Amino acid sequence: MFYSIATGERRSSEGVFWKEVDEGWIRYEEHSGNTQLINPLARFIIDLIDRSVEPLSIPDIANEVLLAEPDTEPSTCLVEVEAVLRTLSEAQLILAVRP
Amino acid sequence: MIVNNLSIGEIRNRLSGDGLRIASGPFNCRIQSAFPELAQDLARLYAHHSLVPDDTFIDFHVAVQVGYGLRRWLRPQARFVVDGIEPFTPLPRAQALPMIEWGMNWCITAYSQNVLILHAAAVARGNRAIIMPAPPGSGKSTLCAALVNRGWRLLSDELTIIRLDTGEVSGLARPVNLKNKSIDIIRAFAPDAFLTQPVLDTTKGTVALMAPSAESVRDIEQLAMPCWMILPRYRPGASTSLTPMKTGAAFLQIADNAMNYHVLGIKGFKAVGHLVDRCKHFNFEYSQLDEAIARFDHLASED
Amino acid sequence: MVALLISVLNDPAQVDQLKPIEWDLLIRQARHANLLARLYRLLEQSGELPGIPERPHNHLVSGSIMADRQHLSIKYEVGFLRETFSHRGIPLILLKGAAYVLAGLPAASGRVFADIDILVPHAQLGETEQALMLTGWVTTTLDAYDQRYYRQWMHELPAMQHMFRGTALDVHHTILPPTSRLKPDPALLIEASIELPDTPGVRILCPSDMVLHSATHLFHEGEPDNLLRDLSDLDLLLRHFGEKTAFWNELVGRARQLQLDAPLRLALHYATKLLNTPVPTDIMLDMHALDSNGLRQRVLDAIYFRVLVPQHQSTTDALSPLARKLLYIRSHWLRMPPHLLAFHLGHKALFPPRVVPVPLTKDELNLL
Repeated sequence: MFYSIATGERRSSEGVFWKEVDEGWIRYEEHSGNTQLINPLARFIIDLIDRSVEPLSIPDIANEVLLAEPDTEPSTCLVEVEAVLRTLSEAQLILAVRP
Repeated sequence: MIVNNLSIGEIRNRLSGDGLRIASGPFNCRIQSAFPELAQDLARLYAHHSLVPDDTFIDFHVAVQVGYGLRRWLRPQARFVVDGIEPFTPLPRAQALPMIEWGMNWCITAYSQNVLILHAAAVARGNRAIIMPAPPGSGKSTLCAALVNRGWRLLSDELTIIRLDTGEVSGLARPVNLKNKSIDIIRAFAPDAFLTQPVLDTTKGTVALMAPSAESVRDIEQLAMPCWMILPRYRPGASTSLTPMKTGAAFLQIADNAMNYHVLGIKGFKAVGHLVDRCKHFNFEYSQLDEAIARFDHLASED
Repeated sequence: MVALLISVLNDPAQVDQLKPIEWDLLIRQARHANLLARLYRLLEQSGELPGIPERPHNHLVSGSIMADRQHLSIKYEVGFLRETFSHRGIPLILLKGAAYVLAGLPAASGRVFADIDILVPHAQLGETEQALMLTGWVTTTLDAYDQRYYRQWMHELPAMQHMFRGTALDVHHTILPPTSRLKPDPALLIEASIELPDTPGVRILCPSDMVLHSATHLFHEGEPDNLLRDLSDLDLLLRHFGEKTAFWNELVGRARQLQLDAPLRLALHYATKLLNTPVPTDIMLDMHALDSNGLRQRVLDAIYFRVLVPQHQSTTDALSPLARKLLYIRSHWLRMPPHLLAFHLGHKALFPPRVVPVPLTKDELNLL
């Protein structure tokens, strides 16, 4: 499974606002009014996927996380990354695409 | 001139005539009603509110009127009307008084998108305010009523108005809505406070209105800066505890309780953000009113 | 006596002289006419905002914020519709308010909405309904009679609403019901429709058709609460498109081609009279829109001058409820042959509708 930013006119990163809070960030989408609390790992992953032209695979993403946080245990990292990807998918902030 | 300067007769005349015009914080309200029994209670509940002259701009032209047709006489009804619009279905005439309060709240939520409207109580010490957002059943009105009777200024018990430009709370100092058990609790807690006779069988249970303190109304024009956001929860037997809340959770809590968060769009997001930045945020659990108030007093003196 | 709101719409500088109770009245009239936000924009454009006292200013801002939010939501919603329709090769043609907003026309100014209106080819109506249902749109409940009424006699699918987002959608396949006496050919409208350059896949009617649709809607279907708003839309459309001199002859030619002379004539007559819309005199003469004296015109004036005002207690007189009732009957008369009309109205009396636009409002009940 690969992931990319949910595309389409309604999902462009224009009209998305962030506010830093204790637990991470509040993400606000102007067109829909959707407001979510995003933790640092989720933010990191959203930004990663957003910056990437091609959809990214789970191992790609987990590697980037490990590069950013070298002290993380790799298997824990994978589990966390998968959990975040599922949540972000359900919230329709990212799109799962077939390779 | 305040409402207390008028006799009951004069109040009744105005209600059944061109209207009783009062200032409720940022909103001038004109109240009309053909029900003579309302004059007594309104005189007590709004005793200290300023009257506004007949040629002033009125924000809400409200009326509680008789039912249509048979319903004028048989199982008589009251209808709430605001400038020709009836937002509610009619209620039994016995509920005419709380209907005015519910109606004026409706007007604020329907017609005031120029401010952030929170479903929350707010009280102040001087010009520093505590905002208490509250889902139903949290005991916020009881706590609010108790605080108002122990030296805290009432800003609002139901809808807290936050200005978008300065972030200040603009108080309404309107009567506090008490329900069911609250009524007896507050009667015992504050025997000198004026409470209307309980009205039974409303959709919210038994309801009584408590008059705001004279000081609350006197200082109505004094805006207050929000300093604390406290989410109260009454739990029988609980010990009083104030625990810090993280700002992300606080943001979501406030946004959830903001009646017009979505309508305001980006302005709403920013207004809630500023509120989060300005305040310290807490979860609060209690079972003893005196202890709860002492804890709040302590909080106000700490900062 | 012209309503204060209409007076101010025609001459915004008047607000400089308003006393507090006059502001009070103006705000309430504007709110009832669904023109509060438009009034705000007008006063902003005329440079009047700095002088407005605080309380009315608050109400104007409030109205404007509501409208802004609706515009944002409409654009969001049209984005979803575009995807749904383009996948299935169904043209997406926006009508009325949604069109004005997406096209950025002056008529979008302060426009508030109850729903989105779109036009699809009759042959693709079934596909459209399916596509919408698959993407979360549901038909709002109607009884079996109303369902049949809508599908058979009217010119739209029964109103739909989105399951999650709550937006309301009206899907039309003509601009007047098949049972009307007038039969403008929808294929011509669709053929002349224009794709919006900024939003490929989203189409609007061409300028003449947009004006004619607005005029037809106003004089054939309009609900009393929105008539002045609709007339104001028409005024803004005419002022904007009318800047090109070629537009006027195109408009008249198109009206004749679509057999919509009658509504255009009424539109020009009332827009010029009430809102001082600048229409070239030769056009007015050509359309006989200046005539005020025929009996029929006087009867229409009696109805329309009472309903083309903010529907507020300050502007009604004893004849207004009747005027509104007559309007409903007239609108239906124009849409249905009389024998069907009697049946429909008769049925309505026996079976209280669950979801139908009721033209007699509470204001009228108060007056009765």
